[in-house]
This record gives sequence, C-alpha cells and structure tokens, in this order.
Amino acid sequence: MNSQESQRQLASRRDFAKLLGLGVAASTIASSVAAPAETAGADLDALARLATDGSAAHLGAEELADLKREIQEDQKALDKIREFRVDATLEPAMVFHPR
Amino acid sequence: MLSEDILYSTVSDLGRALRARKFTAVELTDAYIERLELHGPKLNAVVTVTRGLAREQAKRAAAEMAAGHFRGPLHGIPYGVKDLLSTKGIKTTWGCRAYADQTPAEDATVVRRLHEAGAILIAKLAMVELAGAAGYRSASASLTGPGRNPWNPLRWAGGSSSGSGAAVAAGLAAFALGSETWGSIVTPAGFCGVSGLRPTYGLVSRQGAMAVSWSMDKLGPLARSAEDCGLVLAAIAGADPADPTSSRKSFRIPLHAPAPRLVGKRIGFIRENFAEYGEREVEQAYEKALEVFKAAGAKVGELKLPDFPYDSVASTIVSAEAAAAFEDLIRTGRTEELIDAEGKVGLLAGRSLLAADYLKAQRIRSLIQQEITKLFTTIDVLVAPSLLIVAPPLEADLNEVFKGGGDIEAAGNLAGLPALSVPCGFGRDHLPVGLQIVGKPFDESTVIEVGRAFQAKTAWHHERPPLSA
Repeated sequence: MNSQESQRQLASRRDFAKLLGLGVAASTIASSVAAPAETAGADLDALARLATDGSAAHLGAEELADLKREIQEDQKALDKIREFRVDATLEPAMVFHPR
Repeated sequence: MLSEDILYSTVSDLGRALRARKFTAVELTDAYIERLELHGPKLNAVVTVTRGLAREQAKRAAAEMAAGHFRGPLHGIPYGVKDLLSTKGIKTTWGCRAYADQTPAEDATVVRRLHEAGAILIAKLAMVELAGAAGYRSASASLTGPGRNPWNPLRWAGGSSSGSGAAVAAGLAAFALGSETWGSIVTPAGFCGVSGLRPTYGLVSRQGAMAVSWSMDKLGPLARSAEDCGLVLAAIAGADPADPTSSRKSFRIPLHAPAPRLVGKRIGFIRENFAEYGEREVEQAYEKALEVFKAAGAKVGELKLPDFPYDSVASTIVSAEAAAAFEDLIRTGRTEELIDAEGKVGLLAGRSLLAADYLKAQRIRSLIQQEITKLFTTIDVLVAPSLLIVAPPLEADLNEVFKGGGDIEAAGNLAGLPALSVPCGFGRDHLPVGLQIVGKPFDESTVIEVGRAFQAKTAWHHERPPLSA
C-alpha cells in the first residue's frame, strides 16, 4: 500500500469513527479494523450501533444478538473480499449513463 | 368442467385447443380458478385470486377468438404472477405484513405486456417476505405461511418464488412469473419439478417490480416446459424506457419449431461436492441427465468455474443494495413486522457494510464477468444441478440445509447469465430434482434449445404431483 492510499484509508476510518459517534480516537478504530480477530467483540458492538442508527426498530436482547450474528457473517464475507487482490485500475461492474 | 389433463397441458397445446375451439378462454379460466381456490390455500400458494379481472379478460379473449382474431401463443392463457409485481387496483403485498395493504395504481411492464399478448391474469402468487431481501432461515417467512410443495405438502416449495413454483406444479395456472436475485426462480423450479427460466440481466424490464438488488434482480417465467418458458419470455422481453437497466435486445422463439438436436453441442458440466453438501440420489439423477446429453450426440466435458469468492461477493452486493432499497422500512422500524428472526435484523445488518467493501465486491464482480464470459468460447452451454438436495421439510433451518456447494448459482447471477432449470428425475421420498442449463448473456435461444432437446428425450416434465382432493 502506498502512503497516499494509506492516508486515504485513515481518513475514511476517521469518518467512520465520527459516524459511529463512539468518541474514540480514529487511531483506535484504525487498529481495530486492521486486526479484527483481536477485537471482534468491540467491532460488532460498533457495527451494530451503525446498523441501528436512525432506525425506529426496537431490538430486544435476543434480536440484538441475532443482529450481531448477521453482522459477523457479513464480516466473514468481507474478509474474503478484502483478501482478494485486484488491480487498482479495475472498475466496479456498474456503468453510469449520462443523459 | 375441463379435465385435469387439459389443465396440465403446455401453453402450446392450450393455445392449439383454444384456436380449434375445443373450449373457450372463459371455460379454461373458470377451470383454473376453481382449481386455484381448491388447492391454492392448502399449498399456501396464493395471495389473491383475481377472479373479476380474469373473467373480464377471458370474455374479451373469447370474443376476439370467436371473431377469428388471435393475438399469439399466449392469447387466452391463464397465468399467475409473484406478488411483488404491481397490478393496478389489486393489492400487492411483497409477501410482507408491512405491505399487506399496498395497492398499486399501475401495472408492472411485464403484466402490461402479458395483457397485450392476451394472457389472463388469474392470481397473485405467494412469496417469501420481501423475496428474501432481509434474509431468512425458515420456510415460514411469508405473509401466507410456508410455501408447501405439491409433491409433499410437508416439504418446502422453495423460495423466494414459492407460489409460482407450486402453482405451476399443481396445475393451478398454465404458467407463472417469478423473480430471481440469487436463486429465486431456479430453486422453486427445481424443488417443484417445473421448468423455470432466469433471463439475462436486463432482458426483461423490472418496472413495477419490488426491488431487492438493482444490480442483480431479474424477472422470468416458470412453466411446464422449456418451450413454454420461451413463449412467455418472447412476450415479456425487450427494452422499456421506464427501466434504465433494460437492454435493447429482444427475444424471439420460432413457433412450431421442430425438436432441436443435441449432436455436436458443446456442453460443459460442473462436478459438485455432493458428498459434503448434497444427496446421493440427486447426484445419481444428475449423472443420468448427463448421459442423456451424451447419448444424443453432445460433446460433454467437465468444466471448473474460475476460483472466486462468489458467495461473499453476491451476499455483500445484495445486503448493501437491499439495505438501501428498504431504507424506509428500516427508518420507520417496520422491519419488526417481518416474520423471520433473521429477516428482522438482516436489513439492518446490511447498513454496517462500508461503501468501499460494496465497491470492492462490484470490482471483483467485473473480473467474474470477464472470466465467466471466457468459458463460453469453448462451450455452448454449461450444465449443473439446480440444487444439491431435494425439497427440505418445512421446519428445517435453511441455513443448515444450504450449507455449501452450488457456486454456479452465485456465479451465474453475478455475471447476469440466463439459466433454465428443467426437471431431471426424482430423489429421496420421490421429490423432484432439477438440472440447470446456463448460457452466455442474451443467448436464451441456445439455453431453451438445449432444454427443449433434453425434454424431447425425457418425460420428467410430464410428471404430476399426487394432489389430494
């Protein structure tokens, strides 16, 4: 990863921290994202707050546990996606048609 | 009263009989509606019987035919649609309590096109709530209860187009429309023993259809034969200014074409891991199907899909897009009205995905598309089992049932490929097994041609479930 990419990623993590409203330093988030296995519980709490932010749904303890399980499953998929190396020039499979 | 044999006829045969005036469109419609009202509720296959509209359309079709005006092969043919397609003035529930009273002001483009073709809408058919957009682990995840399989009502009809599969298998309609984001046509077609066609992404307009995943949703027919799927596709395919993703391509099927030949057709087959993820009886039916192709002169060879994290890419894209599509449901907290425990939280979970991860998934999808397209330079079609198991019990945990294998389903949907599921035998407890024929984008003609040739050599698509009165 070059330094420009690294800074860009850090900026996005700062934004992520703000979005979560966790009041924790971005560097903490950055390290947790870098090492998900060690801080899986903390990540799940944060991600669950992100998932429910702005929703009027009231989740009981069981539903919150279900939500975290779902998020954990999604994270497993994301691990595989993040591990998969692609060329920087590769564009997503989406096309914008100007009108 | 028309016989059960007539109600199990193909669209082509029904059309011939209508044109020969053996019965009228009104008689045919009344007979299907009677059967729908008798068996539909027992199978949890129907949301609404559109009796008034159906009789009105049938009378018009009968009058036109009596005057010698025939609109085409679907004229006077009764059908049903999955209840995620908008129908003017008729409630459209999306299989979900939160939308149970929703009544659209306009027809979906596909419904309008079938109306123009003279087909008769007799029912809105049951489905998994929100077509599984929120995830589900139980067959009960539907406004109308678990979709029961006509071959054994204690087994699942498959999802998410449960009612479409069950209605065609039980002879409650001549054909039906379903939708597929990731397996929702191929699965009920396979489990219910009918033919089901997932068209190429963009070939059929989705205007007026509930959105799960804008980049993956497709609409397609479930019917009694590959040919019938082609007849329906020809009526609904084509560009639509109201759907910016719709292609300018159309689809035509030659009427009364002779049974196509398989000699020289290049067929790649996928070898699945049945020992770990499937059932031996399904594997046996699949192997016998491959023998049919070989015996008919096709060049059949094993083919491996390129190595990609297909399921991870597909699940990330669908989760992110569904969370966006159902933003209002999430914001208002009405996700609480979903029946399935996984569904109650599944849409919320999709909001935890990062935009960068969604885009990475779409970038990997670009590679998948490129590599899969290359496969079709050496083959005409690819075949694989529709599913590795037969229909599971209604009470099964679907996360346990679908534990792995079947990469072709995610790969085919990610690459937007057409796939036709045709019955190819029976597995445990005399439950249907399906074979899927996958083609390159916009090559439905070859997919249907191979399906027709397979069905000319086999009789699985003529089998009927033992429905109790």
